[in-house]
Amino acid sequence: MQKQALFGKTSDELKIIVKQLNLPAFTAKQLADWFYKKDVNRFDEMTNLSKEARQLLENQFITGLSEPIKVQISDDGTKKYLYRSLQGKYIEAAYIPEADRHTLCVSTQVGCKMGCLFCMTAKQGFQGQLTAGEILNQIRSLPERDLITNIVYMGMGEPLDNLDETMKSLEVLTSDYGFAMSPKRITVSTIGIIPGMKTFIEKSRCNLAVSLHSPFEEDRKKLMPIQNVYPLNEVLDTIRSYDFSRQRRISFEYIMFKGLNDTPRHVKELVRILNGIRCRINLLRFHPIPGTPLQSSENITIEWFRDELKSKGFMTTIRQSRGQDIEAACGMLSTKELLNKKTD
Amino acid sequence: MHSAYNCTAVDIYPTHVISHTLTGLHGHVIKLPMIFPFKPGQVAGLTLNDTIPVRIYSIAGSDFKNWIEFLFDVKSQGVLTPKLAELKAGDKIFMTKPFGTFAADEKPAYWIATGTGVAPFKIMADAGLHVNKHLIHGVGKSKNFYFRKYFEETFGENYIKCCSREISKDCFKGRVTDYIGQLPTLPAGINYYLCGSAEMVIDTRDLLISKGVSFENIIAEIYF
Repeated sequence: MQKQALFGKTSDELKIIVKQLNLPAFTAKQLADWFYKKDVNRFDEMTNLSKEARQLLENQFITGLSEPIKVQISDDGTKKYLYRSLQGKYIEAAYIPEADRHTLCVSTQVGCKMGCLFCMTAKQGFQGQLTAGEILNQIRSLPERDLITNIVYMGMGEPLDNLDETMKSLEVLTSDYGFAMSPKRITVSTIGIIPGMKTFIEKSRCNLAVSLHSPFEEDRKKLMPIQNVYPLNEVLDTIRSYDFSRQRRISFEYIMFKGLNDTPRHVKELVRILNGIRCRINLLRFHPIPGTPLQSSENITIEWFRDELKSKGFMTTIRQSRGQDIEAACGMLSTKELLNKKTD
Repeated sequence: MHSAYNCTAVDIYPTHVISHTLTGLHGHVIKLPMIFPFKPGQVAGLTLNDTIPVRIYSIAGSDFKNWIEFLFDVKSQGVLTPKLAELKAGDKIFMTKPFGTFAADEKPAYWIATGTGVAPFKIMADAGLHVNKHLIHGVGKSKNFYFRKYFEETFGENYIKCCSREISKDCFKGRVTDYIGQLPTLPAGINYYLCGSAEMVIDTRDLLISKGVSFENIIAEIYF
């Protein structure tokens, strides 16, 4: 049986574990310090723990920390890291350096169950949930770890379909005992799983991004099967029932598809459905994936769309496409690795 | 459709089991009182208490007055289904209000499902929406063609059974994608409704698109 990993455990979980091992209660805090405050990867390096405690931990647990196994580097500085999960599956994290910020995009699942038409990760199917430790390892074991200013949960998987582990990872990231990162620097992206959204909004202070992609419910249904379960109007009603007017930010992701969601009709409907929500709209170019029937809108259309939304009072930005010379679309690198493994 | 989420974020209502029957090799059907109105194709969350995450299931049958049914199979690693499998008539269970918009209309269409993904199509057929429809159902073993007799009587020759792991009378040997792949043409301009695992939905959707079906005519519901 595989040993349990300790990295990624919350303070409460560590307290229970050290109690079960009959170790002093303060060992939990010491472990959290070594894992989340110091750059130590092995139990035998945790020098303020007794020799017996270190041996006990070594015998019964693994740290769960692991270095990336591959990296692709773009001309624009973007780096895509491939990690191996504890179950031997492949996940990816994208490091995106910019002049004023360094963002890391992390994965929460191996593959995804949501089946969005435009998504490469969906093509892998679902292979498993990541633990909080595996989510956090993408940050902790990143060579550029000390440069990271922002974290976005926008990699492989739907974070709110792995709610418990996502929430635990956010706790460790933002707690004083953990990485003590500001929740304002963390954004979790969802396609709109309403019960998960409610839990996330009520129990964390991080920002929320919702994948919108069409303001028309019937059109959105064809792009995103989740629309059949959690319709957009109910997602927006849920958002309206919470206060996003202060420090916390709500944003909507909108991939621009040629002829499909980039017309004046779509601007008008977006303005109507988002009325009263203080939000940001991020427009994204579509990076085509193999076999897709979809095409990206032209740059001139995307800029027009942005200007129209801005003129209606919505803060709207066009997200810069990064890493186009490497496997730009999320899921491309790990899918390639998965296919290589199957071929072997 | 199966999804787990935190009980505290969703309203659940107490009710009870009217009956629990077995179907096929792995199928279970539980019948509950119809305490809320619903539309064919909708889902509802089920759980046994407020410590077990609610999971979502398609409503699979109803008399549209007194009772509704749910179809599930047991996931050995699952938290809820092994417990649901032990329920007896009279046992307490909690459910959410029905929700969702996976609903067919009266126009011609293909309904394509694997395993328990056939549940929403069963209730749509109960509601009389089976006219002008083809139902393609894929399973591993032929005993897992849930509601087989009902579908044979209701759809006649428009009920296509695909069995991937054994050769069986009246069944296509292979997956639903194998069956669709060997069809020379597919009707254009009609809708294709899919329900099953993410892998099944994605593979089938890609196949339909490659055979000339517009993605705008494909409507999917995914287990999650």
